[in-house]
Amino acid sequence: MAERRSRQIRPTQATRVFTHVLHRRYAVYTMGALCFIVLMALLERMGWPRTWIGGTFLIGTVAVYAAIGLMSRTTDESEYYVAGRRVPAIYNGMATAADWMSAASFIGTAGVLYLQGFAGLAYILGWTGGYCLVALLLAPYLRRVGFFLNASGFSR
Amino acid sequence: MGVQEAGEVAADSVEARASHWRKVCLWTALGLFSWLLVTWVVVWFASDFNAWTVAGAPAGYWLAAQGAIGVYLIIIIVHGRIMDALERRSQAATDAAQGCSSPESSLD
Repeated sequence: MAERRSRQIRPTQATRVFTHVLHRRYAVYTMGALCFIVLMALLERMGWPRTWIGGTFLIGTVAVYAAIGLMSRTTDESEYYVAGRRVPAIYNGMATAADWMSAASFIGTAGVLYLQGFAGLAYILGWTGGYCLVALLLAPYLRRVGFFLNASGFSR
Repeated sequence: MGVQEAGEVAADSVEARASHWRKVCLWTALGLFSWLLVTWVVVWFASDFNAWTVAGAPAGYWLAAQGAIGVYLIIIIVHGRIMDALERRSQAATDAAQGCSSPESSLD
């Protein structure tokens, strides 16, 4: 009878400390990203060639991601996709949103809309509507089984 | 617990679960219907919608590009909140039925 009531667990002291450290780390990372952008803007003003700025952006950000990935390397699937469920959900949501804010969204859909007009909106409606359907029909049930959901997995 | 009380508790919890499932189905159906409305009806009648303008763009186009996305967001948020509340209530009901009143913490 004394089963774990996993829906009503109160955060322990360890989790609270972890979350506090996490907020601080995310704040430091955000400030670092903003400083990087400002630095690039200043360098552009000083006359850096365009290709160099593009290259620095690419290599710099990939290096930072690789370093973060190395520092928090894991083979546990739950740790990989949702940080072991210890990270507040809003950060996980932001990470998933960042997946979708990519060249496909900005350049790709802009191009498709330009070429095909109204028909191109099918991509936007499809992707976002797909998330809606996943949330309605699948998420509450698969959540109990521990799956990780992404609309693109159901677009085929 | 006497045998009779245990039987009543079991029947209650089965009925509670059936009512919970019915509410879940109702809200999911509502969400699905809104999704249908905003996706298929808007796109089907897009040229009729285009007679009006919203925010400087033909209404049919704006609805498919931004209005529908906003409605999806609302559907997801409202559905999520309602599901959470329903599950919390059903969890509290099964807790009360089985005699545990306070939630346990994760580590002790």
